[in-house]
Amino acid sequence: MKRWKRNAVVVVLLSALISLAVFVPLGSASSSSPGVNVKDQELVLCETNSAGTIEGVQVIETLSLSGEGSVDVRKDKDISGGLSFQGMSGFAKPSVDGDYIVWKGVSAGGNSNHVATTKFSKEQVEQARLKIPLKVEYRYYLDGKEMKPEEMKGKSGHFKMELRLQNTSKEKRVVKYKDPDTGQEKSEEVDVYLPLVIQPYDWKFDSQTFFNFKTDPTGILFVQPNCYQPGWSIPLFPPATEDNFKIWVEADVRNFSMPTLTLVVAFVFPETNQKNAAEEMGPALEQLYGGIKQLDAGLLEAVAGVGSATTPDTLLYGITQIYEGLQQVVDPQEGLPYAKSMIDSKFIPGVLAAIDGIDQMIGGMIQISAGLSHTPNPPADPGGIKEGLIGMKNGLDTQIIPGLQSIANNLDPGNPGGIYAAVNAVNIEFTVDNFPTPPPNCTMNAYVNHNAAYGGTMNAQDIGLLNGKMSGLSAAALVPALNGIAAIYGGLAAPTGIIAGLQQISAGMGTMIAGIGDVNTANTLLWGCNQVLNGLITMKGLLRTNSESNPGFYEGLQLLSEGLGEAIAGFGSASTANTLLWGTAQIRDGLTQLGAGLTQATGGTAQMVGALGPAVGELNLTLAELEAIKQRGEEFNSILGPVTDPKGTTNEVRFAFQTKPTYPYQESTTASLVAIILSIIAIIALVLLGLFAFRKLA
Amino acid sequence: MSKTVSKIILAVALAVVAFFWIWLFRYLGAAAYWVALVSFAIYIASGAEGFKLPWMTLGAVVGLLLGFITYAISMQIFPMFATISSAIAGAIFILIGALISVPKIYEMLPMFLVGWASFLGAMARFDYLILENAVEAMPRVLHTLLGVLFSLLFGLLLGALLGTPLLKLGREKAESGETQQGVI
Repeated sequence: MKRWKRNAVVVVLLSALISLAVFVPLGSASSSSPGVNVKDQELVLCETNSAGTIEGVQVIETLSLSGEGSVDVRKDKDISGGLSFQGMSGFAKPSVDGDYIVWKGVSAGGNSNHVATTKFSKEQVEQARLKIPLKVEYRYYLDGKEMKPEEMKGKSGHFKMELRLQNTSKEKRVVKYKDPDTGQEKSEEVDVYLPLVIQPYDWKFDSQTFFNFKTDPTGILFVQPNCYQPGWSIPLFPPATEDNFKIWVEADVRNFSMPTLTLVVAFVFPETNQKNAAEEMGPALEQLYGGIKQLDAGLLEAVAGVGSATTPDTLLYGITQIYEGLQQVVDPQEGLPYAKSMIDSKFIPGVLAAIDGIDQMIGGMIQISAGLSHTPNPPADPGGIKEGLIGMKNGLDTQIIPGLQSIANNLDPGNPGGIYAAVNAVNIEFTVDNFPTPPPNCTMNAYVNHNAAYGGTMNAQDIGLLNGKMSGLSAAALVPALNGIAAIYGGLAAPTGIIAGLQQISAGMGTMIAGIGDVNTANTLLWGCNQVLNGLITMKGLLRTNSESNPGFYEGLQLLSEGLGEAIAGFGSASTANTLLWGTAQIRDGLTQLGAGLTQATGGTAQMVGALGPAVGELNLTLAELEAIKQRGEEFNSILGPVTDPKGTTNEVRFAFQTKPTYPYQESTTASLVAIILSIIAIIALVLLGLFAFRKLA
Repeated sequence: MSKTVSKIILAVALAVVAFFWIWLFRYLGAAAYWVALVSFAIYIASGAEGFKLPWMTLGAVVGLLLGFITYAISMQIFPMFATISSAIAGAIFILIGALISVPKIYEMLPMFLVGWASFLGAMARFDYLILENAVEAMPRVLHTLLGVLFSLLFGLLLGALLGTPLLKLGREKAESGETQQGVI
């Protein structure tokens, strides 16, 4: 039997060992595979006292593997002193190998997580304190008096707790950014912080203890059925935020106890779904800055362009000239009103007078035409000048000139039958010219004898007639008569004589008649008169038509006058609204104001340029700082030390700060004593009862 | 008193005591109030024999201490999240070992296992604290140990004070009825 029992114990022990092996995952082989991706994540649990001072540190190291095969993972050991790891989900855990922490032969198996934890010694906690660039400080007040939460336990009153957080990671770094003025890259040494986001995690204040719970405005309070749960998200990464921040809660409390307060902390650049104003604003501000500079230059040009009333080739000068020109245009003494008054007082009456004159001229021309020629109505109306001239010419041509020619012909000395010849014959009779040498005392008789000697004849009758007197007559009367006749003849028949003159007159009359002509013969007086008449009629017609659709000069002047009136009204004055002068004055005043405004605007743009330039530079610097912060955040990826092998391993570190609560999770010493005493009493009572029952049974 | 009446009295008394126990246990320094109800039930189920009380008490205390040791050792040796699995394996080992070799195992075993499992069960409730509230997780061990101890003993005491007399009374009544019936 004993042997059977011994064998059975061995079997059971083996079974137990086997079952342990079944329940507990084991570490795997130590071969390495290059096809395994590794991600190392550290969670640093910082146990703090109620004031926030770190008193203990536990690091939970999670190695996430993906791929097939196994791998050795080697981390730098940045914490001095020994480290002892314990696996959390399996036996796989790292060990310290000199200056490295090494996970040996961890298997990926597709995807796997290997988790191990280590607790820091006091010296290592001190190292961790120095490495964690975050100062956490809690302050507690009850009824305005600061005290520790342990001292408040069980008390009632008005509670307030403040949490002050400070990013202490400031260090100098050189960052490069673009100078907005020169466009050149610029280097500057600035304070650069680690990016930091803090989140109070799972803060629950029992609603049986806390009442009228409030948070600072940055917190969001959730009222659960049994507790108040406030929440915050606190980024601390200057220059985007201050390097410190304070949050608070307050409430009325009864039977005070304090829960665990956990802060989860990540030194990462906070990515949010908010629009990145800096990145969006940066280029926009740069463009704005460029635009403002152009605007400033443009405004300066505009100011120059608007100019002043005394600066030639400027807008204000031009509008002033226009304004003054318009004022001249509407000047009553010399402008459009004057023109209108002249048209009204002079032109239009003048045109009317002209029309009257033309009417008179037309009448005159008609009379002239009639005077020149019209059908005679004898005897009272002998006709016009033309008819008179025709009559005169006819008289000359048919009566006077032929009569005079007949006279001239009779007087012509060459006409043997004319008067001259007759008188000359007489004269010859009485002249001594036939005697070669007239005797000095030539007597009639001698003369006749003598004459007879020369072939002259003279009868007795003649001699009787002459009877002594012939000789005197010849000298005194017949010779002048002959001369007179010859002169008359010459006067009549000479080329410049009367007949020629009358012929010329007649010809002139003919010409005049022809010149008077008729209305149908071009280039004659009557034709001209008719043309003049027609012209006058046309002119009259042009001067005044009495038709609005076909206005004449008169109507045109009236329209012009009306138009000028309207134009004058339209031009108006600087004080009459809705007129050209008013508008021009307004434009001028507006331009003056515009000039002043533009001048002010240039002052504004100059200020903006002056302000935006440094602002854009500051923004660029800030963006560079933020990039440097982001880079620092990526560099701060471990507290134990980053993985150096395999290369390309992603390292991350997160922190959790936890205060110890004051509620009875540990119970008071009194409670423990009560439990112990009651337990001892119960044991004694049970033993006694057992003994009593045993005895009774026995 | 008839068997039914005694059971009714027991049920009512148990309900009243359980009510006040659950209500007041946190002020009594206890943890895992349910352990008392389990130990009471185990005592009743094992016959409510008073003479077993010392062995059952011993079994409860030893089981509790072994549970504590198991927990402590496993936390040091085994991966944290495997603690309960290892404890279960250990419990099976202890169970079988006890069945074949330990004297008075019949009296001790039920409370031994209750003590063992109750402590581990009570501590298992705080597994989440290891990560979420690490500052609370480990300090709870001692308090849990004392609370489970008190709760175990209270359950046994309750069984001894209420269950034993009432159930014994009912049983004796029933036995005498059966005897009389047999005589008749």
